[in-house]
Amino acid sequence: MSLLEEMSEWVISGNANKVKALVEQALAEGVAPASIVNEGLIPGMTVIGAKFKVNEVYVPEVLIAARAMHAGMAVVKPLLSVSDTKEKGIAVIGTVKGDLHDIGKNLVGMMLEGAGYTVIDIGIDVPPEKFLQAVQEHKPQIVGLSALLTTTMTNMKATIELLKPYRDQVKIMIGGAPITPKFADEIGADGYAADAASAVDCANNLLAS
Amino acid sequence: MLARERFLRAINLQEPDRVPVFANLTPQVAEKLGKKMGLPYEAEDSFLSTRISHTEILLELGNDAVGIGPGRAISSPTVELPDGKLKDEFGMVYQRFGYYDEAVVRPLAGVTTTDELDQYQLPDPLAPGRFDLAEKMVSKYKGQYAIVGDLEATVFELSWNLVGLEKFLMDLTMGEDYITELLKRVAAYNTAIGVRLIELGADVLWLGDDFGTQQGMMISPDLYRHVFKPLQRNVIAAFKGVNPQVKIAYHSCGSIVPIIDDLIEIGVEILNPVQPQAKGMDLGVFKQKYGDRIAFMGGVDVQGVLPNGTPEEVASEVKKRIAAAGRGGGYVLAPAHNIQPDTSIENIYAMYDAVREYGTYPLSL
Repeated sequence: MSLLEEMSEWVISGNANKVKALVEQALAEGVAPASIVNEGLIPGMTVIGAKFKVNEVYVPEVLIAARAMHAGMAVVKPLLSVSDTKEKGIAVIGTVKGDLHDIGKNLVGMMLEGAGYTVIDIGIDVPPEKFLQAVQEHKPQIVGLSALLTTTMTNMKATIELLKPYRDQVKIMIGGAPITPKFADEIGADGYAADAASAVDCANNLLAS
Repeated sequence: MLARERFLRAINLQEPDRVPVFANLTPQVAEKLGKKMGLPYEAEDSFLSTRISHTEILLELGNDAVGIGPGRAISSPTVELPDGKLKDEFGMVYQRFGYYDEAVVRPLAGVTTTDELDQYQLPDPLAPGRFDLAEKMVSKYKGQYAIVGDLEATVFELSWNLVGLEKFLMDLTMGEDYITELLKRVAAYNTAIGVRLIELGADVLWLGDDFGTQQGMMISPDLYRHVFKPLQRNVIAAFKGVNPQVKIAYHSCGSIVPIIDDLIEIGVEILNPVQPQAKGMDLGVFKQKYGDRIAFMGGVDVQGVLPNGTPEEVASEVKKRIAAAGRGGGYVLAPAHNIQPDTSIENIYAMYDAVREYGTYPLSL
């Protein structure tokens, strides 16, 4: 097994210390930082995403895999050159106003990051105006809105309306327990994902379209 | 037929005179209803306040059971901090977000070892004052209504609430020692409370740990079986040891299809809430598969129909759930969660009216 393959395996099994050590070893051996990310860290998270989608792994395994990936990223990221960081896309994600539930949103963030996106997580209880600011500031291709509650779902609509002037630059996807594809259509979202792994497919499809 | 008999017959898999009902309210809905009905709507101070509050409103609407549970110890009521946040006896700090008080400080957020865990003291389950309200409610309603003792954050849920969900799940998966110890202590805490609720006269103990998400299990069925099932089995055995007649209900939000057989095996007799929009949680299918062994409590959709439907759609939802699970008894109609603030009063009345209309035995659906 190559060093980068081994790194992927430790991401999959969620061993942050091993991943960090292997990233350091790879750098010492002269492996390019971009290769470490694209051939070591990301493939591990890709496997986790695929397994999560078919119930081979569950939330805890995703969390520890993402933690392991981050441990590696923290070492390698400062070394990436500007051309290396031309990434897949930027995604701004947040839980909408009135809603504090963040595990779903966090999992989406981990999966998107694991698929090569730059993720700007603007947190919980995020009012529409803050999403607008984040769009203006970070110029994302994707905005992801999360809600767990029927009482806060309506704030997705308000957010989408406020982002109207930017709709030719930004695709909006939504998700969360009470969200359905029908609701996504009704409020004018571009996409809906039922779970964190599908959110990556959704983002990829939106960018391809 | 008295409400209590109606409820008990149903959970004993017999047909009563009609399908019993057991709903709970969010504080905002209780306030709306209480003002309209001229009844008190203040919430009780408790970790699971909504399950034991608003009793007069709920009975007037048509509930057949009364929820009781542990209140706060006299020595440690929930206090309001100078910044407006609320701090409870567990050391949890809550902040108001929109309609809900959500935890923003968790007392075990920094714990990594059993030694550190030892620095934290769970509240005394039998502290003076803990059961004052429960005693009052039992003496007022016993005999007439079924008494449901609420212990819905039995092992997993109270434990992770003290730690924080993501840290808890990661530490659990990494096999950290303190997790095992914490789970044991929380199980012992809730066992002591449940035993007292049974001694007071609870007909049902309503246990619970949410293991489901909208799409499936939050943790693997294997991890559930390895870590949580033995603890839950012990808790249930302790309750049955005090009173073999007490019925065990179990609450888990979301989709928990892979562990239903496990729950039945450890002694669960009533499954709640069978959340209809969660993947695979099909009341009709469950009735076929498990209906000769367990009863169901729940089924009414709070993620769609109840808040967003018309009263006619609510009535048809009720009819559909009774048709799926009412045959032969074994069904208590209930919303799949506390009725949320975006639900109209008309829809709530429509739900209760529809049970009277479609839930009378013999069913003609």
